[in-house]
Amino acid sequence: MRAAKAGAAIVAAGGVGLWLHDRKGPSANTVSETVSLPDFSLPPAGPKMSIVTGADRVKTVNRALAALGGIGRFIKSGDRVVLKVNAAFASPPALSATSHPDLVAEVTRLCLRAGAASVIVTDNPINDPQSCFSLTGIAKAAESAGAKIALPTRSSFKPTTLADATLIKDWPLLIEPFHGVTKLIGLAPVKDHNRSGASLTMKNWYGLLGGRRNVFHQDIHTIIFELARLVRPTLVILDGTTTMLTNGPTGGSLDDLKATNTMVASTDAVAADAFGATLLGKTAASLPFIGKAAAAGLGIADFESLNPLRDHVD
Amino acid sequence: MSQSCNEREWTERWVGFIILLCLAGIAAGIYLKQFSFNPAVLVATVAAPETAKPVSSPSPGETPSTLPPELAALSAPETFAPDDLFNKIDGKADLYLTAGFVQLHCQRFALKAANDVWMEWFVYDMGALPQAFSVFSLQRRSEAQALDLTEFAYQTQNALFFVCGRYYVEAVTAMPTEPMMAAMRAMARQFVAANPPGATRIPELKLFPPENLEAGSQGLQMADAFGFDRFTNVFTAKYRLPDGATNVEVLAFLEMEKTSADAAALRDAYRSFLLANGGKETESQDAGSTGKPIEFMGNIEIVFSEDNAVAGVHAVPDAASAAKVARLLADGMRKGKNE
Repeated sequence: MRAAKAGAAIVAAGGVGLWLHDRKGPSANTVSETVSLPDFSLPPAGPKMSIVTGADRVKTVNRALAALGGIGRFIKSGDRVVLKVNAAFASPPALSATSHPDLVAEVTRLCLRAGAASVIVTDNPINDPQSCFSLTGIAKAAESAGAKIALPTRSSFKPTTLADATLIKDWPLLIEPFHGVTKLIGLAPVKDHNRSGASLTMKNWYGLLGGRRNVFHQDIHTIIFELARLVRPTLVILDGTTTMLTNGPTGGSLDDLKATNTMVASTDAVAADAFGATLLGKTAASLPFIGKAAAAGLGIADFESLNPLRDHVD
Repeated sequence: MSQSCNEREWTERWVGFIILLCLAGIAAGIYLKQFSFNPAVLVATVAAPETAKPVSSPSPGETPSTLPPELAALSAPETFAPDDLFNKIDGKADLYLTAGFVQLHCQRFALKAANDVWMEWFVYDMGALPQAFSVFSLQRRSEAQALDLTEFAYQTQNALFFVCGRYYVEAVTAMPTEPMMAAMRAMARQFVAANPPGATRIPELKLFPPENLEAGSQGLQMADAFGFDRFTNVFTAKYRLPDGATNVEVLAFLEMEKTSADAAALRDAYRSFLLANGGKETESQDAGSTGKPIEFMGNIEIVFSEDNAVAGVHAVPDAASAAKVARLLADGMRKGKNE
């Protein structure tokens, strides 16, 4: 009798389990609220790229922007601007692992002078953002120039999905600093990278991802390409004043660095990165993410075909 | 007796009923929870910023128990495991993970006399000496100056890098004043004293013949060496041949297998890999026991096996230099084996 009862209980439990079993599993899009970034790019008009040589990044960035028609071409009165910097490491500016504070401050000043209502400087360094922004000198420089620092918190992220993407599906995106923002400028240093071969302007968008984004390192070129599809900036500025030639992206030794004294401003991130590759002694063809982005029509890998405006400042 | 049986039966029934009730509660909870399940948000919650884990009591011996008197801690010590190493070093984490990384301890220290002059101290526990040597060798700076600290140690103008047993240690400052560099060296010596590297050596390195060997050029690649996924423990060394004005640099390599049959199989697999990817066998009178060289992407590759080792030269611009170093290596390995 007891065996029969136990058997009946097992059958009943099994039946309930079968009834509750969801054969399909959770759908990838179970989220009611997903977000995406607006397209911050401007309609094509005027030159797309400038390359200015010189050791003083404040002078070179001014000249590079002037060559493109001035900051006023990109920033209008009342614009709310995000500067996406590279503040990935709690590393001092001398090691060139992060965006240089002098450049962040100068671009902030230029945006405010052009009439921007606000400038927000942000990145998601993952590890102790406060230390990263502080020790890189970015926080102090940006704030003294009039920008606000947006440190990521848990509530700063919302899931995003990129259409037809392989990797960016329902993935946390740093979105909070972009509320009400009208323009986006990327400020990236030129660095060697252990996985991707190079860390340039498109790789810089990696800092907008949350979650355990290191999983993307297994397919680094695809994630950079998808980020280039996801993020359409107003302008990118590639700082090759000092290039981290080896042991990137962290570096550590001053011997990893070389003075390459070049500043690039471009509305075409693919072209900027293709040029950046040359500062690393590489070619665009050797960096698959550039080829993928170019093939998808996100920009021009043959940057010379854009007739970049070249100049030099002492 | 019968009453006792009845009581037990009732007790069992009630216990069973309570257990079933608990299971039903859990099932209901899971059923309700699945409607709000979102993997992305879950990930965001887990890996949101501020994930650094300050360690109140670092493992003894890994962070120096006493600092040089001129230094003071500037930050709390942190520790990172394989699953969160990327939080600290992002894209460089893979380099360590593929080499067997166990744990990272790091902390910032400043000069007491000048608080704005600071350095960061990184101790990577790589589990064993070869792994520590691997990450050391893969990042060696070309401008390195030898440092009299351990067998594998150097300094650059702003940093120290060394292997101490299972640990790979970096001390990095952006303000390389002489007091700071001296304090870093003192801290390094203290670390070595507290963690004696012992007598363990890497025997494979002794198999590279010393003639024309570039000092400090030995390395160890623990994954996908030369793009070949079966090369997972490849020791390398650079040779510079002073032939005329060319001064050719040749990269020699070797990997130890368990048996000579394994070594021969790996040798053949690498040859097949090269040939399958566009390599072509060339004739060489100098090749001897090192086999026919393969021309691959404009360079020369030679691979041979010697007892339980696979060895050769990689991406050498000219055939004569390749053959010369391959012969040197083969002779050196035979000699080293007999010593």
